[in-house]
Amino acid sequence: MIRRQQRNFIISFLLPGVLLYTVFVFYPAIQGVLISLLDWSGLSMRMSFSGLENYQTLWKELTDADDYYNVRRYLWNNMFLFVSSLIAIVLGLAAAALIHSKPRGYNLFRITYFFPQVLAVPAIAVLWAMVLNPNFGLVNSLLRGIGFESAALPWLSLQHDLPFAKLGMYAVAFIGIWAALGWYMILFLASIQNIPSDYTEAARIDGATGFQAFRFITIPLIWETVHTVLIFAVMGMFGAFALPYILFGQQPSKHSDVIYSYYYWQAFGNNNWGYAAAIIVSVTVVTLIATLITYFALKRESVQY
Amino acid sequence: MAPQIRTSSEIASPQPDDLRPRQLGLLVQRIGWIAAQLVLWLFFLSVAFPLVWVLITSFKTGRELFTSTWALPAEMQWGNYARAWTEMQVGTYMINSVLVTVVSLTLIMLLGSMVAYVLARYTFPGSRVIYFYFIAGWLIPGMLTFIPAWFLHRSLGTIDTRWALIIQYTASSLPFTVFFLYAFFKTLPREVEEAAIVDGASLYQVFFQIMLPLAKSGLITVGVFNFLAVWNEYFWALITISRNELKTLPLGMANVLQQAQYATDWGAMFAGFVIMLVPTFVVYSIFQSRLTQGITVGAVKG
Repeated sequence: MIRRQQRNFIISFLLPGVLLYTVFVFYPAIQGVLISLLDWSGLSMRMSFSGLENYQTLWKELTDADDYYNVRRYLWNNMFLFVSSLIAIVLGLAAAALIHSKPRGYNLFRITYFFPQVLAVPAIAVLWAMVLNPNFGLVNSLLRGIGFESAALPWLSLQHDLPFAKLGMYAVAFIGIWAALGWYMILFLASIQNIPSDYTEAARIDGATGFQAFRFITIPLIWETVHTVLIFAVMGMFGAFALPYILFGQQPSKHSDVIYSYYYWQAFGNNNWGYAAAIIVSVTVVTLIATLITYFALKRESVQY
Repeated sequence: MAPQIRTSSEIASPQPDDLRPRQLGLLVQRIGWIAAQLVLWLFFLSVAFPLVWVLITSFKTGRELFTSTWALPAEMQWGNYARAWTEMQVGTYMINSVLVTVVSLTLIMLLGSMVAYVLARYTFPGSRVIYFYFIAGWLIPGMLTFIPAWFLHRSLGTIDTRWALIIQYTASSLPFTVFFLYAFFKTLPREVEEAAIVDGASLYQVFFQIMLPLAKSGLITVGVFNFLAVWNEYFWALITISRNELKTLPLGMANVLQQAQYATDWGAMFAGFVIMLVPTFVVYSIFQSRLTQGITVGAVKG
């Protein structure tokens, strides 16, 4: 009797969650892989098995001599933003090291820096579209106010050329750094604060400069956090979409589109479902490999303290 | 820290001729310190100032925005807010976001804690498998599920309804919720439950009347993270919701920017943006420390 009661209890508690998760997440994920093997476009349910044809098409587009399909361009834009996320990590680490010494405004900095992290990406996009507006934006009116008329650029322009990317993409990179810095800072700050302070103090007494103590004492001791953060960055390597998509008017453009934009246009613009699924599966596999490489390449013997 | 170093260096090398480069070093350090402070304040301003500027601008007329970007509003334009709420439909977006988030969050927390509790407390054939089955979901990229899920919702007739959002948000939040609450329930003592069962409480009563109140702190932390994830979600909403009267705030915000190309009611636009930020702001100011503690638990040793 008791056992049956217990069994019923367990089943009734597990069933709703397991069902929901299976039907709407797990099963679709498997289907996603299967769809990538289909020749399926349009809104009808007509589809046929085509093996790896979608992947072959993707490979052809990727290796096209003139990059006619812009796939390499999209990946380039991804890498451009990925590099900016690495810069955000470095700056977040620097901010954590500076804030760790508890300057005046310690709590204010911590709370404010983290705030962009809780904003929705569209909110971040709108905020910066206003701030960077060429006519009334905060940045340009400030620049004009102090007499740098020529520096008041159209920040969100995809026409203005710069090395590696258009000016607008630099703005996106900057906004990305602005939004992510606080997240990294909080992570690094917590792990720096875990280090017993006598370690760095001992180094300082032995004559190490602040930077040396940071480089040779702090960094090795927080390596586990650095490692984790870098892995997360690699996992999100191809994750960009919403920020450029919203900032540049929700129109396709090879100067601002990333690989997820391509997926989005193929799936929900062209209804080219099989091909779009192949893009996502490929991106997932590449991300997985890159993550594993990062994991093993940066793994160090963890330092105990 | 600085005075300590000076003392110890004096002990180590008491010669007076050693003092000069030391002092120079201290000066460099001092300048570096000031520069660092400056940078910290600058970044602080880059976050705080745009928000304050948007708030101030939301009380101006559109004309003022162009003629005097930096000035305070000549007259408080409360009408901006009224127009944003009705004409720009910020009210509609807000109601949708609140509805979707409240229902999703209730379901996530209820179903997630039920699964986590059973898995944490009972060992039965397959209990480990089910646990890892949920954890695996954490590794599944959302983008991979979106196309099949879209067709699934289309055949269910839930596409372009709030249910598409509620169901998908609930299902996709379960892995994180189960994982976190599983660990939390493991830390709670068993004695209370056993005593309650001896006293004749049913297993359901034990869960709802004893365990859930005990797990309150864990539930709140997970709840805040899930709130942010659901409240801010953009991509799934973008592909499933096309009727304007069903759009949530993230879609609404993107709309605002689109309209900016033709519309000229800048005052209402800024006001609308401020309204849309209020809930996030409130949640952040209440749960800020819980959030920053929550994210460091997993990633930081100790």
